[in-house]
Amino acid sequence: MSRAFSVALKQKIDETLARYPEKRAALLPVLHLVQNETGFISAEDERTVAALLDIKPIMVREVVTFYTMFNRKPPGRFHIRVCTNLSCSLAGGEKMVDYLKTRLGLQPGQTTPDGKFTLTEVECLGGCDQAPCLMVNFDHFGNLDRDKIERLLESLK
Amino acid sequence: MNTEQKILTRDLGPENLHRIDVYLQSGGYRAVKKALTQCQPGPILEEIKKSGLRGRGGAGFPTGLKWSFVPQKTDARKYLCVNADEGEPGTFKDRFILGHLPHLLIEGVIIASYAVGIPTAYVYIRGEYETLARRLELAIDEAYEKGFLGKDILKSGFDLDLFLHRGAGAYICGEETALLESLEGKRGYPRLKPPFPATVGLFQKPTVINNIETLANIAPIILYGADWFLSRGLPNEGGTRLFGVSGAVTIQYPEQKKELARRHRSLHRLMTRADGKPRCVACFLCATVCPSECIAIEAAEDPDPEIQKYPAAFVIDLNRCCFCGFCVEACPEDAIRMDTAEIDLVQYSHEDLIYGLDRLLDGKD
Repeated sequence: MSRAFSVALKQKIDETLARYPEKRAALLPVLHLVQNETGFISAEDERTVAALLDIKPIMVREVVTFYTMFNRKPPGRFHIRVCTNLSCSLAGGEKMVDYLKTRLGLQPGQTTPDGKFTLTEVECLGGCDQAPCLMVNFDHFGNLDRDKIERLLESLK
Repeated sequence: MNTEQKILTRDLGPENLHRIDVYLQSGGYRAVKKALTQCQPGPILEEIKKSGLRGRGGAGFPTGLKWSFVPQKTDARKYLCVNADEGEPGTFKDRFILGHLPHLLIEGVIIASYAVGIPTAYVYIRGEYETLARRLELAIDEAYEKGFLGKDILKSGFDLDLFLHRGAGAYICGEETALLESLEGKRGYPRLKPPFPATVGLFQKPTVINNIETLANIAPIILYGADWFLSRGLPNEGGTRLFGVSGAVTIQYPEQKKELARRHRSLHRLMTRADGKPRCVACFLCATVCPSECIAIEAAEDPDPEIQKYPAAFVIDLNRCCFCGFCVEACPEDAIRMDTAEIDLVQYSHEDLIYGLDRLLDGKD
């Protein structure tokens, strides 16, 4: 599948490139820009980015696969990342994951068939003061219990 | 805690302190003005060394010493990297600074860059802190607008560019050499040391890497001096530290009190009218609704025809009260409230916990 980058995206990429003395250094920010627009990074995107940055496609592939926040498949519309690190687990984070698993019928890493929710377990989100916590796309939610999760899922439409 | 001891949290208070207008109003960027217009880079470095400031990223390496490892006389372009890849389980102190005091961090970046002679700085922020990244980006834009970043800052001839660089979810990138690799657009694999980043760092150039909290401490040191800073710490380690506290917390009660929620229900008080008489009209609604039946009222006729009845006696038996707040909700006259924040209801005998009008009437509205 080939997707041409939009003019606005190309302009943003050019602005980003100007911040670094070497083109390759802009790789992470550029991948973020691409993912913000398209939701994930396809093999075709990898080749396009490689050409823009004058590097080999494998150099893009190794970065995309190394960092956990880059999606190689389209994620659900709401990407739920639940922290299962120490502070959150002590405060019941794993129970929250179990609840979400049964509620959404998903294993961590999977997406619902209607493409609405993706569930992932992640490491510390830096929200230990409101453990257990999770992120939906880029918004933080803390001090969770079943009711709060239920209300949260209700509000995601 | 003695407020005199506060360093980073000293200026907290005004709302929207992350906006530059509010920050400037509460005395922000004074340290930058002082450093760039009144000090030379050398003395600033000495001041930081003298302050005993140590790296707040975990290893605790003396900051001034770290800066002095960067070659002074070199043609190579030098870099400053701010490590905002906070991700150690249980830590969220940097999130606090980014959220509330981003301009304090920017001040630190400017002064550090000035002291070491750095024209370009990058903030490497973890991918999960998307909202904070946006807030910091806004703060950086504001600082450019007001002329604290860019060319010829405050007419001192010093140039500095500050850029934000977002990570993408890799815990290892908090390690300083892995962070450099990541900033160069590679996988975040740590480098072998030596050579150390101070001589061979970002893009193979001399590089200073500091934690957010370390840099946030720079401005107070410049403003109030190394001795002031050192006096608020250990003999060889200046300043205070931010701690992240999560889960069940032990406090030293009763010396240390827990902050009550805004709507916490505490000891009752009876409200009064302007003339000092109780607002209560002895309607018995509170006594009726009270599930533990701890309210006893004795009604009396008031000579004033406007007020039909008043409580000759109003007694709450706190031995029985369950602090449900029904009395407050039931009262049609707003005569009783539970907002005294008085929760230390401890007596030696039951009789002392039976409160009458004399102890419940508050007088204030």
